[in-house]
Amino acid sequence: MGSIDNITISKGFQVGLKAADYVADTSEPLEKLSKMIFRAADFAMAWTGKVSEPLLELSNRLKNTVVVFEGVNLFGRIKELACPNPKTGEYFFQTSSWAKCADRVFLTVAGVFKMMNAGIKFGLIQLAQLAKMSFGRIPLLRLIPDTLVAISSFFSICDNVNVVKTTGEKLATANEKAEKWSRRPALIEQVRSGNVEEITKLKSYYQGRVVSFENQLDKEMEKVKQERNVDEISKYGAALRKCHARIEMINNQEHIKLADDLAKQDVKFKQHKWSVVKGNETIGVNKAWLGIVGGVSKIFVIAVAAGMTTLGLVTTPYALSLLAIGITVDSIGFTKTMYDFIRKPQVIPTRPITLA
Amino acid sequence: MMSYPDSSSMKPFSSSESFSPLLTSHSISRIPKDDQTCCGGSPPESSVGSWCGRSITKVSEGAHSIVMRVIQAMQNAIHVLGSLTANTNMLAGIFRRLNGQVLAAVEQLAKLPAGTYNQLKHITGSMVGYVDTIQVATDVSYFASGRFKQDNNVNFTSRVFMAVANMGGALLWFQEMSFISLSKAASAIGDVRLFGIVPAITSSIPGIRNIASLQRVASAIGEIRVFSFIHRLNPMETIALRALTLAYVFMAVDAAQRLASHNGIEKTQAALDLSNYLSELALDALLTIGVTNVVGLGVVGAVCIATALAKFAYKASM
Repeated sequence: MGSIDNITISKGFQVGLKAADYVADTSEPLEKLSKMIFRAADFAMAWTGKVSEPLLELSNRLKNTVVVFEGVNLFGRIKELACPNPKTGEYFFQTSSWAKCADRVFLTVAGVFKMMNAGIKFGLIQLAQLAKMSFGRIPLLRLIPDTLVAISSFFSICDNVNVVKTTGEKLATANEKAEKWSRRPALIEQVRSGNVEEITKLKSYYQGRVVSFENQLDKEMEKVKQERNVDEISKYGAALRKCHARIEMINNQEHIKLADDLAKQDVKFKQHKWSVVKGNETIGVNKAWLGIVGGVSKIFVIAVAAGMTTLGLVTTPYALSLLAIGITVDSIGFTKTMYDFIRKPQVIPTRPITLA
Repeated sequence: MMSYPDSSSMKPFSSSESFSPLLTSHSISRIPKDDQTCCGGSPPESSVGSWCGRSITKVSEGAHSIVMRVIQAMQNAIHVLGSLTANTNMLAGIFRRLNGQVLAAVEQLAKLPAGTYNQLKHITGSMVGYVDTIQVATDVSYFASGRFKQDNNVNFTSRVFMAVANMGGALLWFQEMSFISLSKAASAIGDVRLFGIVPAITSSIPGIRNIASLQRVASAIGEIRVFSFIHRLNPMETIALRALTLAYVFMAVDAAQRLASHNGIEKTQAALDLSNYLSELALDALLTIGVTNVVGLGVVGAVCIATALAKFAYKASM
């Protein structure tokens, strides 16, 4: 048990080092980390009521750094939209849902406004008139990018809700299959020994499968000839024949023959395959949920900040609350980025493999 | 294998054809020889007309081909820029030169408003200090994860010096923000009496404590400040800069070795790397000997940025 713990610790340490590498070398997570740090510094000063010169300087420097990162990350967003994937040759719009595309477009336009803001702030662009315009108490050049980010978060939530739905269904199927194949060795032994209960369950299972496959086949055959999926038809046909053969074995009480037939399949490969599929779908669902939580919290913080500014609520408790919410939002975003990096889907095995 | 699109059936942004979306030099080499006779090569004999080695029957097809090439060139540029801006190490290198030399030259030539110049200097400096501090994590990861075992001695040495430079940069950044005072730390370290326990030991041993001369020697030993040289040591900035110089020296040696031993793409990459490191060393040499011509230094700084971009762009396009 001690050696297993050491391996786990060592693996965890290695993952931590890789994560640290990723954060240090990539501008997007570094931007999120910078936001967390300067907000934490501002929170600490607001909470204690004392202005610490080093913390204030750190906060100001990181705010400037965030402005730079937001500007440079804009190029990354433009690249995502304008350039096809070098491996597949497909554009983002071709492989993503409409909600995801809308999310990215609004985020990119928000990035343009943020860059414009930075240019005005550092005196590189002379748009004094525009900088002075405001909607109520909120400057226009702050309201527009914040609104665009909120809209982008809305579309991101829509996309992630769809992903949760579809991936959730796939996860349920994968769970079912993983469960089925994990019980298969025990089932084979029970069939071989002639366990009536299990054999009866098996028969009703195959009868249900026959109905399902026949429905699927009918759906395919109803389609126009050119639209039929030949691979699916042959797959359902083969599965249907297999189910009929096994039902016949059960009816003829050929238990040994049935057990041998069940044992022909590579159970270990199936167990491995469906555990990989289950893992991948779980990762997908978790990422989607993190996206939903992140999107909701972003909309919430923008709404709260806009509301506070409009109502003139700039007292310390509200400012503290806003900072705390901001830190939480940034932490969620950072967690999602790191989860995306650390947990990558595995390649689903397609050939029978020999497991140790 | 990506096939170059047939111009007569070319549609922009189509995924149904297999085409090389980013026209790189690598992908150009895969284009059949006939298609590489652009701008100067002889056209195929059987064509009605030709443009860039491919036969065309309409002028519009040639124009379409130009548009596609322009689009692909823009996509190449966006791809490289997007990849560059995602890499903090590259960004820090560029901002270091901007902060150090290029901005000053631009300010002198273009007469930037004082406020703008100071703000840009402050921002680029903040960015470099922050990234240098964060890069310490990469250095720790490099040594702690054992990746150094896969590197050759030259590369390993360059990483050691780079780690020292990053640590120095981090300490300077914290000093600028008044989190720490390096002079106080140096003073504290310099005052350490490493053998302070010796007089206490000798005075507690019964036979020895009565020997006056021995007590005087023990007292003298106890007063020795082993690290007093730190008071006279060059400031941290010099250490960090010298470490960075040495890192570039070893990286240049590694690049020269790769240039001599490899061919093809790796040789070109090594050449580009070497040009970047040599330009950095040249700038460092100019600063060391005390050159103060702002515009001249700005130009060399711009060359450093250009060679860094070239080396990165080549890597990103391969």
